Amino acid sequence: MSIIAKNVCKSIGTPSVQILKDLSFEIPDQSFLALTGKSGSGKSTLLYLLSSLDNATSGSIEVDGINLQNLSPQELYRFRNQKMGFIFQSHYLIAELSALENVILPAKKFEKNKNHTERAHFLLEECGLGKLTNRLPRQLSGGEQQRVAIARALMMNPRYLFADEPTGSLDTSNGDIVMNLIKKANKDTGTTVILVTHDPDFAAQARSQINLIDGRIDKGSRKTMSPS
Amino acid sequence: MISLALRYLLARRRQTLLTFMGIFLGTIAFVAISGFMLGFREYLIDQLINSTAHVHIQAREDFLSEHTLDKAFYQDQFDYIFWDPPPSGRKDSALVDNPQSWYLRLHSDNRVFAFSPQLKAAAIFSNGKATASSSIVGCDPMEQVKVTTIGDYVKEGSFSDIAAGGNRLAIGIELKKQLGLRLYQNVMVASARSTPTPFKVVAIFQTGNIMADLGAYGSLVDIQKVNHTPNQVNEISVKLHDLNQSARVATEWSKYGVDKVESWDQQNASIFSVFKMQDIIRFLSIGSILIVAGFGIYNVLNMTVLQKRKDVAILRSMGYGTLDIVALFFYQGVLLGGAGALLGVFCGYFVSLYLRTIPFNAGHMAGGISHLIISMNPWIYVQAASMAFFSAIFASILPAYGAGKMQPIEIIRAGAE
Repeated sequence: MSIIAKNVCKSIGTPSVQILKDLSFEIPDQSFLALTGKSGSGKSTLLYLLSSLDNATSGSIEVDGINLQNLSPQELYRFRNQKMGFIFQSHYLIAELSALENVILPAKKFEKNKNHTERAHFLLEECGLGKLTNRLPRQLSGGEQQRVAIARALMMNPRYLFADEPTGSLDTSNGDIVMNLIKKANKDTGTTVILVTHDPDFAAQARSQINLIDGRIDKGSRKTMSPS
Repeated sequence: MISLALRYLLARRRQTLLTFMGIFLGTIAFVAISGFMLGFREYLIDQLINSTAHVHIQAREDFLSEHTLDKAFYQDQFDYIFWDPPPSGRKDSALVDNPQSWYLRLHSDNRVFAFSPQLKAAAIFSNGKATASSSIVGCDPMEQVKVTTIGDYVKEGSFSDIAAGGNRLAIGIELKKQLGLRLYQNVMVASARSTPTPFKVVAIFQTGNIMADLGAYGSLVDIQKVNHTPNQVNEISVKLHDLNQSARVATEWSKYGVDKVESWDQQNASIFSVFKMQDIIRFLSIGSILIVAGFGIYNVLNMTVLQKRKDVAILRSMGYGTLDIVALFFYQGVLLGGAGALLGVFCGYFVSLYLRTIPFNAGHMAGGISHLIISMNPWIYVQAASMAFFSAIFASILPAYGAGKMQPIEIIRAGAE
């Protein structure tokens, strides 16, 4: 199981500006890949394409052998829910729900009647928030909020974890905590992690790396990945 | 999604309360104003039905027009006939044509509950120097009380006593005042065709309708004698088992003879057109309150959708679909509308009960009215709740649909910029 990108291009705007230019690569299962590059190089855009939040202008992306663009909306919602977790630079926690309720939220979509509290508690405990489960997001610090977001992303035990600069708004110590949690998810459960980051230190912690320059892969940037 | 929608509402208490109040007060206003207007209307209709029966069979009163006699004189000989002077006057009979055949037909019709043949005549009443011209109705009091509720309005004496014959009268309270009469006193009654005849007042009634309270009732035979029209009647009042069949039955019976047959609502068509206009005004005025309340919901939801763009983005990334997002915002409108409508009709009921206790000087409408008449018809509550609920739903559709159309990538990109 892997993510395979073939000749992926992405243009936006009118007149159109090409952000990604003919990218082809494969991300093997259980990878920990860092997407790096300068601002505007297209790394976040690539992450959104790989995670099916956005569609490529041309080319194809297969996840687990499935071209996600060919799925019906319902199938795509289920695929996203069951196999993908997301962490963004902003925590995107729902302000009206407690930490625990935010973590449980993904599980409520397709398994409404199941009790998910135990797993949510476990994840929050893993993230060092065992005593803050009933707090609202505004009652948590920035680092704690991001850790809740990580617990939420891991709630469905996803095969793929997409992280878009998850440490971007955190201080160094909180950034380290978040990175450690992401690495742990990759190591303990074999979750494939695709991490967008500006920070070379965090990028260095990934096992492989794609560096984008003006929408193209910098061939010198790859570590363990083989170009397709 | 409904629990999250509820959380959103509870998190913005002030906004939620204000929006809720719009729907809530609008619903109360609808219930109270409708109750007041329909209460008065029901009273009027009740008065109409009670005093005039369901179907009236009357002597036809046709006036001659310029061309009424064309065919009778010239058949189809000419395209157009000029009369000089043109015909005028009446061609009707003042009496019901062949009342016996009507009695047979009414007896055999199982839709008929009761009927009362009547002879209505103009009369001059005098008591010493006091005189009053009014109308007198000859009837069978036993049947009359089945057809109308005149018996219920008797204040002194007994309406059925006029059946005993021997020139007895039941007179209205206004006539009593004009003539200065007392119960069991004699009054002279004269028709256009007779000399004054003494009648004894055996009952005094008060319907609340001045015109009716200026009249008098006597036994049919006595009034036929005074009017010199033995065995004749000029109206047969009919009460049906089902009031709602009145118009249909009247239309059917009007084909049976030359007599004029009208239902109570056909006779009072002008009043019903006023009621229709009243309904339009009621729905427009109260509907506009609810539309304003609906706009409140629309604005609040629009604001919420804008404020909750990030929530939409994260929910979509978790696998929640377009319909889930639509539902999240739509439920907020439904909850507001539902709560406002339910509590509105609940409180509206108690407001109506309170309004009923407010004293109201009905003046001449003294037929038992001492307080405001407020209808408690369940239909008012159904209408109020439906209008409130659906205005909230309509107000929620657009913002909810807009939220459902949001693409997570656009929100995330906007958030990152």
